[in-house]
Parts: sequence; structure tokens; C-alpha cells
Amino acid sequence: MNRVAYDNLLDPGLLSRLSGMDLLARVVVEGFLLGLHRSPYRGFSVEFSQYRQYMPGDEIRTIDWKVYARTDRLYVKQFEEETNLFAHLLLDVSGSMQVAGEGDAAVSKFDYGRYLAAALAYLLVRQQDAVGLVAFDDHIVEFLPSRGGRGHLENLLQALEHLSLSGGTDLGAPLHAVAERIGRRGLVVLISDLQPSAEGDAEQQLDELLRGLAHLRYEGHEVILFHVLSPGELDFEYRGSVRFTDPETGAEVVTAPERVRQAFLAALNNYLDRVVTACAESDIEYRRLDTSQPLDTALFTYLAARQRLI
Amino acid sequence: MSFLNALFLAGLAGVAIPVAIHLLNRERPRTLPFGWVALLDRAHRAESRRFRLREILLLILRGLLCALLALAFARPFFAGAAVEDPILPDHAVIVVDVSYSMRAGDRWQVARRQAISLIDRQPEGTRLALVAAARVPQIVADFTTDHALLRTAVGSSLEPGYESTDLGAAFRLAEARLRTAEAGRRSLFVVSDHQAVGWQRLDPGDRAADGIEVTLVDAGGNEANTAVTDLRSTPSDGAVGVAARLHNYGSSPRELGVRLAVDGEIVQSKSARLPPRASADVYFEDALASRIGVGVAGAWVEIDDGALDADDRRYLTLEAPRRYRVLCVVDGTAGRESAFYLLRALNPWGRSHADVERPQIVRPSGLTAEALAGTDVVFLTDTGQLPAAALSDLRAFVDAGGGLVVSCGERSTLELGDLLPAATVRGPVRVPQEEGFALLTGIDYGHPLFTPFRSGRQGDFGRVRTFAYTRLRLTEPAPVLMRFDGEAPALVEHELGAGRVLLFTSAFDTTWTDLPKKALFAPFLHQALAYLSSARQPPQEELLVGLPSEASGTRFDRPGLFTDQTAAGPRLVAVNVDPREADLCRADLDEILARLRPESPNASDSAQPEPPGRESVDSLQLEREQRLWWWLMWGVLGLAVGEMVLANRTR
Repeated sequence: MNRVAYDNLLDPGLLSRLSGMDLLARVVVEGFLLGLHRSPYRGFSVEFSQYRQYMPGDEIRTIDWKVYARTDRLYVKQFEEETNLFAHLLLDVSGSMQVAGEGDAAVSKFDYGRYLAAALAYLLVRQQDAVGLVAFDDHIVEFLPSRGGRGHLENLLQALEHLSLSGGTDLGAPLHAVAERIGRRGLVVLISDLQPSAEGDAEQQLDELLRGLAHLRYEGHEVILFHVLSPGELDFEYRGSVRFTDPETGAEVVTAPERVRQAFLAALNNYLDRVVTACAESDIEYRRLDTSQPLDTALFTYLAARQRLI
Repeated sequence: MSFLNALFLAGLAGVAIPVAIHLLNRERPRTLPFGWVALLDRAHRAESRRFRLREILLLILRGLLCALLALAFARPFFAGAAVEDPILPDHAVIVVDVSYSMRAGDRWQVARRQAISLIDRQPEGTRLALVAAARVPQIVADFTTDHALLRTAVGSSLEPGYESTDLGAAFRLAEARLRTAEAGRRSLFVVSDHQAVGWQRLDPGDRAADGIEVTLVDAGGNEANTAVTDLRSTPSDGAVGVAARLHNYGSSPRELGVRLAVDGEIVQSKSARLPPRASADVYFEDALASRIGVGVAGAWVEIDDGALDADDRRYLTLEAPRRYRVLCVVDGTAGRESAFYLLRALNPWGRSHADVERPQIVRPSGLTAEALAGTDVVFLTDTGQLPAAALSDLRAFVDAGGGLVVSCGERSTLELGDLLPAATVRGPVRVPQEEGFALLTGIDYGHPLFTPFRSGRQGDFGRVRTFAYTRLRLTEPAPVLMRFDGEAPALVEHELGAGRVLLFTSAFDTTWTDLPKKALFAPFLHQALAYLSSARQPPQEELLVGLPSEASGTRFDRPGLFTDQTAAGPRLVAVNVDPREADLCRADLDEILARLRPESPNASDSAQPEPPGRESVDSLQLEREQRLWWWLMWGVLGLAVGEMVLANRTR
């Protein structure tokens, strides 16, 4: 199987044709890991029971002396033991996540978020980690505590499959609620379009979001923010006369996109810049994802973050 | 405003085209769910105001573009004054000949009737101008629609004068006035007897501008005219005669009575027979019989003709004969010998000559103010140094207008101060024996001194042989009237105050030159006397009607004898008509018309009473006035460029 085939396996357009989150998560993760085996990111993997050359600073007890006896070289043995990483997947299910790119194979931000959440959950469980799920819009609509094991994974994947889009967005309140409910420190993965409600003040909502993220960090969680946007939102390359409708509020703007493109992108970038800056200041891993992108970008980000945690 | 192609105005409906295109192109917006409506709404509000303004501007530009295009194709034009009068105002200039030839027969009555008829035939509203054609044309009335005013001017105040005609100048003036009138039909009428001499001064470039219709109205007759064309006084042997030249312009011989009147009194009558188309001279001898010393008298010669009165009488002034008083300064016995030929030439019979009193002879010491009193001309022949007092008196004499003739010789020093414009360079220059003699060359025959010698009948200076002369160096610019062999000055003139000085660098005896032995010597000296004496009395002037007097600048508007008030006092002057106008021979009107006709083949003129088709003039006029479409097309181009720039502007 060549690299192109792996990329295809991770293509959101193809994934949307698969039925069942279980199958989807398995395909994604196995495909990803298979590709990873030949990828330059080999060193990030912790799942395999493998050896790596001893580096100064490694604990002496991790050296595999048998290998040393055979090869006369020092290798460190990775233990296949149950980790104490507790991960929580926070998935935004507000109406704005309904937005999809243009084209038959385009997936919505919501679907993309679900695929990503499923893949991450599969990977986490496969690595013997505990994983939980929180779905929210302006409040928490689904909460699965973080646990390990195959059975829990199936529950989680089923919950993802049955999730549906709900009301408006209020990013701040659910984050505060999650921060309060998760007792043990761990990894929090937020999957959202971070879109402010059309009815409220965008600046105020952004501040509330940043305060929620800061709250999570304050509680000692490692936070990864997957900012999911559709390609149309990022490049605004729409043509002709378009009636843009807000899925949450029903607000409409009829305009010629080519005329307002520059002004809109300037405003959007300003907003995104503020988010990026705030994340950097709070030591939050920020990754912007475009729904046309393969999922491996997100998986790499996760693995890198997990590496920092263990 | 009117339109040549008014149908194209339907194209103004094209203004709706951009609006229709705009409305038709308004696609129904497709609906897309979009999350960032709040940000988009803000951007939309900021941008839509600017884009809406641009769209409105574009709509206006495109609408204007369609409207201007339709207007340009409709070919609009402004008719200016035609707003008041649907027919463009016509302009016409009527040139009426008022030269004295129009006095012949009933020419003036005919011309007047024709001019009034022309005025009456012009449509009401036509702007008419009236030009009187004489030696200098004059605008009697500039463009006006008051035809009654012009009718009155022609009917009562306009009369033929005594000047000659220059129809060419009148045509130029009238054509220039019409050329500046840009609207309507433009007509130029010339009412005249159309003498050939009247059209003689027509320049090759004289031609009517396009659109000007020229009509020659003939008021001429067939009179056989005879005129006194020249009159001269002929002094002879102390008497004054009068020579009259008569010319018969007719085709049959004429027998005429000719009379001379002096001071209003007929003094002589003669008859003359004139062949057809020929001149004849009639002489009246001793016209001032027994009037010697009376000064200047007025005279005229008249003939019995009757065709044209103005040229049947000609005037002149006669001056009673006077004798010149001459003073010869002779230096001793030798000087007397050297003056021998001079004295004989001035006084051939040893007594008073008809025009020269017996010359007085004095020594240099006898040259006093008393001796100079009453003298006209002083001769200094081969004279040495003059006493200072004599030189001073001679200087005052010349300064007051006296004449001085200086000749050289063995004793002459030519030390006469500023009386001479030259200094002696070398004493007698003797012509080398191998060369033989020097000839008098470079003679200024245009000078009055040589007037009698121009024809050669009075003698030839080229035959004079000179063996010696004095070489001069001119100390100030002075006219050299004769030279020796084309180089050394032989005769130099010098003006000093009111008088004149003639310096002859050879001698008036036979030792240096054979001039005294030549037949021309005596007439040359007498001409010199007349010339030098003339400085004291201004020449009689013959004036033509309308031309200014040189002495006073006065113009006389009729022929006759008049007193001219000059700075030197009153003087009698004779004023005559221009004799060229007496020739009533008529010009070929077709030829004249062909020369005056506009060069453009579209424009036409005619000697016929019927003017060319009005359409041609109108179309020219329309062509000028409907150039507005050019500007509209430029506007269309400008709008198209503006639309292109605005439409392609993204920010």
C-alpha cells in the first residue's frame, strides 16, 4: 500500500461514506499508524513495544539488559503498561457546525469533528488511555466520563454517531462547566468552530471563550484546540449573489461575496489572530483544521501533545 | 436646437438599456448556511455603500453614453438667430461707384435706381451694408436691417465725387465684411459703370470666399468722352506757354474748341482736331503776356465736350518769368580769363539774357553782404583763399537759401570751411599722357540738375574730355552727381541751411577740360541756376482730388484753383481729377466675374440677376452648425473610457 492510499483512507470525503463510527475510527487510526510507521514521526509513537537507543537522562531501569547482552548496545524498553492519561473530547454541536464546504464530497464541520473525535478516541483506547466525551452547544448536551477499555470505546462511538446539531453557541459556559466537572488532570481536546453567536457581541463571546480555556488550563489540563472551519469560510471564494444564512439564528445577509471578500477576510483573520494569540499566551496547542484536510494533521498534533504529557 | 436625423432620437430610449441589463442580470441569490454572518454583515454594510455608489455611477455613465450616442447620430445643430427667424439672416453688401466717371450721361441716375431696386428686392430682415467706391472705398452704412435708411442714403446723400475708382479695393472691403458674417446667404453687389481702369488694381488674389455670391450690376453707358489729360507750363525765352494734351477716347474723330483762361479770364482760344482713340497737344504761347512780375497766376484749359464735364477742364498755376541774378567772383586777370567761358555761357550777348540778368563780377575782397543782396547764385571760379569776412558773408548767403557753384583751377584752394563737404587730397591731378583724358561717368540722371539731359538731345556728357582735376576726400556724406572714370568725384552737391552748393572738381575753362566748348555747357549752367534758385521758392505742386498736399496735408474734394495754407504762407494750388478716370472704356464683366468667383466648385456666382440655389448656401451653413455631433462623439468616447475604468476598479 503506498502513501497515496493512506491519504485516501484519511480523506474526510471518503470517510463520510463509511457507515459506523467504529469502522471509521479503526480505518482512520490503523491507516494513520500504518503510514506513520514509514513516516518521519516514528519517534512519537509510544504504542509499540519497541526499543530506542539510550539517551542520557533516560532512567536506568528502562534499559533492556537482555538486548544489551546480545548486541552490546544500550536500548531503552517501552513498557506496555496501562497509562494514567485521562483524555476528554469536547465536541461543539452548535448549529454553526452544520456549515459544509461546497461540492458533493464536502463534509460539514460537525461530521468532520465527529470523525476526528472518533479517531482520537480509538487511538487513545488503543494506547490504553482513558477517554471521555463532552458534546455541547450553549450548554453540555452529552457527557461521557473518561474511561478506558473497548466497551467504553463502543459506547463513546455510538454516542458520537447519535449526536445531532442543536441550538446556539455559548463557548464560555460549557468550558467552565467541563472544567468544574473533570476532576483529574488530563488532556482536553476541544473540537469547535469557535464561532460566536450572531445575536451576541462577538468580542464579548471571544473573551468568554478565552476565559473558559484559561479555566481549563488553570485546572491543570493540557488543552488541544482543533479549530474546525470549512474551506469556504477560510477563503470566502463564493461567486454570484448569495444569501448567507446563520443556521443558529436565521439571520441573513444577501451580498456579492467578491465585493465583501476582502473586508470579511480581514475581519475573520483579525478574530482568528486574537484566538491564536490568546492560545499561545495560555500554552494551548492550537490547530486550525479545514474540513477538506485529511485527519492525520490532527492525529499528529495529538500525538505530539501526548508525548509532552507522559 | 434642431436635428438633421431626428429619427435617431428614438435611440434615447437606449438609456433604459443599462437599467434593463442591470435588472435582468440580478440573479436570484442562492442560499448558503454560513456561520460568520455577524462578521459578514459588518463587512457587507461597510462595502455595500461604496459599491452601491459605484453601481449608480456606472448606471448613469452607461445611460449617458447611450443618450449621447443617439444625440450624435441625430446630428443636432443650433440655428442661433434662427430661433427668432426660421430663415437664416441674409447679408448683402451693395458697392456703389461714386467716382467722377459716374457723372457721365445718366450713369448716376441709372446706378441710383439699380441700387435702390437692389435694396427693395432684399427680403425683410436681410442685413445690408452700403460701400461707396472711390479712390479709397468707404462704408457708408454697416450691416443693418433698416432698408429705408439705406434707400435714403442712396437716394439723396450719396453723390458721385471727383475721385477716380478703385473697384478692387471696394471689392476687398465688401468681401471682408461679408466673410465675417457667418449666417445666411451672403451677396455682394457692385453697381458701377465698370470702367476697365476701375478694375485695373484688382490683385490676383482677390477672390470671393466660398458662399459669397457676387453680382456685377452694370450702370455704364456708351458715351464717347474727350478729356484734357495733361497741362504743363512751358517757359521759353522769358515767356510762359501752356501745353495742353487732349485725348479722344471715342471711336470717331472730334473737332473741339480749346480755351485758355488765366485768373478767370479767357485769354486764348484754339481749335483742335482729335483722331479716334488718340491724343493731340495744343500750345498756348506767352500765356502770361504782359504779366511779368505778377507772381503766380491760376489758369485752366477747357474743351467743349459735354460727355463728362469733370475732365473737360484742367487747372494749373503759372509763374511769371523771372531773371536770375548771378555774382561771379574772379581772382585777378588770370581769373577773369578762366571765367571767360562761364560768363559767355551765362550772358552770351553781353547784356541781360531772357532768364539771367547781366552777371556781376567782383574780386574776392568785393564779396560783401551788400554785393550778395538780391543775388541768386554765386560762382567761385579758380579762386584762391577768400578773406574771412567774405567767407562769413558767403556762408550766411548760402545758409539763407542762396546757391553757390565752385569750380577748381590752378589757384583754387577750396578752403571754404563748411561750405564744402570735402577737403583737397591732392592738387591738380593730371591725367597721364598715355591715358589721354578722363571721361565724365556715373552721372545721376535722376537728379533734377540733369533733367534736360536725360534724353540726350541737349548733349552727351560722355563726350567731355578732362585732362586735370582736383582729387577730393569727402569729409561728410554728400551726393556725388558725376565722377571721373567712375572713381574720383567730379560734381558734388552739398546742402547747407536753406541753400545748396555745387562743387565741380575740374575747371570752367579749357585748360583742364573741354566742357566749356561743348554745346551742353550753357544749358547745364542755366539748369544749375534754376536748380540752385529753386531752393528759395517751393515748387508748384499739382494736386489730384482726394490726395493730400505735400506742403500742408490738405485734401481737396473737387478740382479747381485753391489757396493752400502752408507753413511758409498761403500759396495757389491747382487741383485736378485723375485723368485715368476719363477713359470710360468698359471692362469685360465675364472676365471680371470669373476672377472674383470663389474657387470652390460648389460655390457659384453669376452676372445673372438670378442667384444660385439657396440650398447650396444653406447646406454649407448647416454643415458648419451641426458640427456639434463631433463634440458629442468625443463625449461618448470619454464616457466609455470612464465607464471602463470605473467598472474594472476592484477597490
